[in-house]
Amino acid sequence: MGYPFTEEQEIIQQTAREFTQEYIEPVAAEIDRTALHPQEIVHSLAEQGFMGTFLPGDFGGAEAGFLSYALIIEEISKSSGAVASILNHHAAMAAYSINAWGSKEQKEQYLTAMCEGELLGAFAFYEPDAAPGVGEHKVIARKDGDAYILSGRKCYVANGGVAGIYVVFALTDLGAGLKGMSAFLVDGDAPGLSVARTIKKMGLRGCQSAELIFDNVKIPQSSLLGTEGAGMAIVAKAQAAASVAEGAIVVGIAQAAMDDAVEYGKQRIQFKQPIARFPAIQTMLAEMATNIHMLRLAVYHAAGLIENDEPFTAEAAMIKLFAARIGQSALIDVVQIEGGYGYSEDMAVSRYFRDIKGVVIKTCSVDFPETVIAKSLLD
Amino acid sequence: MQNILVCYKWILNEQEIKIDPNTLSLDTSRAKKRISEYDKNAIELAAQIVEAQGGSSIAISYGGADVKQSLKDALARGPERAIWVNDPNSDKADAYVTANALAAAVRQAGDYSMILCADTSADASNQQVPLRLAVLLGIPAITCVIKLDVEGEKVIATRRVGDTTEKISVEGPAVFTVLPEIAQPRFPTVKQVLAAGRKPQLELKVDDLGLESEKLTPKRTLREIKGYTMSRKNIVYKEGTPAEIAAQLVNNLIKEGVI
Repeated sequence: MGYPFTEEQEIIQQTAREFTQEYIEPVAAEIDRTALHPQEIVHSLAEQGFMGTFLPGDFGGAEAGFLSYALIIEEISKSSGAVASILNHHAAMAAYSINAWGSKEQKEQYLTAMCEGELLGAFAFYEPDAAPGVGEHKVIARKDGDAYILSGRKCYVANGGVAGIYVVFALTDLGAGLKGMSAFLVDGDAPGLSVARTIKKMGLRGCQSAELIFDNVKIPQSSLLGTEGAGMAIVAKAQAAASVAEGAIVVGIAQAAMDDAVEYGKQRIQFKQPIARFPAIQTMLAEMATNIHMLRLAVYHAAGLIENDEPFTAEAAMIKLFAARIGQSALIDVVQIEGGYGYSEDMAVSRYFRDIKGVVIKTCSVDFPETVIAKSLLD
Repeated sequence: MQNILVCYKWILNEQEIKIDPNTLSLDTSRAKKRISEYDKNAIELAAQIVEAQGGSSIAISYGGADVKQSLKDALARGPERAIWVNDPNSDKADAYVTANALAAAVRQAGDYSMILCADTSADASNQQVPLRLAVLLGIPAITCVIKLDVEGEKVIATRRVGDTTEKISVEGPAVFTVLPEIAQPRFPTVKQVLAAGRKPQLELKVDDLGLESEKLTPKRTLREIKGYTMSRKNIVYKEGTPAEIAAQLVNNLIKEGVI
């Protein structure tokens, strides 16, 4: 057995690998080309139980823990970073937040449907032109009797436009800065909620990103997630959990790219021998194999911390920092090894390259990861 | 209602076995084990029959200590319980020993109405164990089955025989060897994997099966395993027009008996 995995985790990993090969690999390039939300694949993920892997059994989840979830994410990422990102925004951001902060009624209303794939989750935090809660289009939640009325805009909402439930962050106290930020659960078909545009991206194309307009969206008071002012605490925790899973996405994509480079290096003949025999190529491969291995272990360790309900934010920040460095450097080296072929769109490498960049920038945390790590050392 | 025994083999993942190009020796150090691919079809068929007709299925496997790792995987695919026939010497076993051990275990497993096996294993491909098992148990064996219809006490098996099919009807317990197309295995869901750990597992030590030592002594000695490489002729046709080169190629293929 690999890493200290349980037998169940080994089977889940192997199943996710075979599932990915059968259902996702054959359509991964097409998902990238069309940039369309792969609804059938998402349906298959739900059937397999991947949409609620770590969520509690009482609300339809499999209760298999966050490490099993990270293993599934890693395997899916070997074929499609876009599909892995759809799942991650649904599970590690939206569903994770509802599970951690939601009332029993909210969990009953949303989590069961989210585990069964009837509702896709999304996390609406970022805003156009400026940091959340600051700019001209900031989303504000005004109290109106037993209801809140949301107005403003959100951007870069992954799963935006296809989600059935949004975790939306809005200011409830305009004078309190980020401390006045609260989280709300907003149905995808709520009157006044519309998609301004979908955003064309360099990578992760099948994971639809959208700009949303909240035009006096009226929601009941029971839609408040946690308490008023708890928004930033919810963001920080969800982004930390998602960072761990994003580390798994980087591991998966980088592993697939490296496997490609190894095969290419064995077959490509230069100066009458395979280029894999050249020390310069071997050095690049050795470096990326080492980095991927180290990141993988860090992801498994942090996933274990989440699973055991232990503090994990510093470890998640380390993963974020390391994944950004090694993910991009691995792909630069893979393109270098594969030369002109790697640069062409005939090979999967260009997709891996574009996708990995998207993973390491798209959920920039409120604090720089270095700040979080230093804080854990100095406080 | 059918009470089904379904046999499976826990084998090295052949895709993870490396062959040394110089010595042709096999490097299995990084190869994980898995349920033989064809056995998954048999397990799936058992699950489908039980889902449609009721009854139960039991997964049964013979092997060494490592087979214990396979039980949850097998159980996640449908069977209600699993039996592991544990033989520390299984690495030396041949089809004769395997069938003897399985037959003894089957006799202890209680009533059964059918035994399902894959037509072959994905590693040794001997195609012997199911037939030997049937002989030892004194029940019919029906091979190359592509469809199985249960009608009361009667089971109608459709066999693929070359370019034809034939239907055979059988009553009472029988061994059926199935071809892969009979049932496409589903992937176990996360919940099924976790539920597998709660299903009963029974370990039967081979020494407790009451078999004489002769029954556990292989008739065949494995002398060597080497990787197979296809020797290529590396003929390059350089001379002549494309039409002449094509003619040379076709002539040589005819000479070689390829076409």
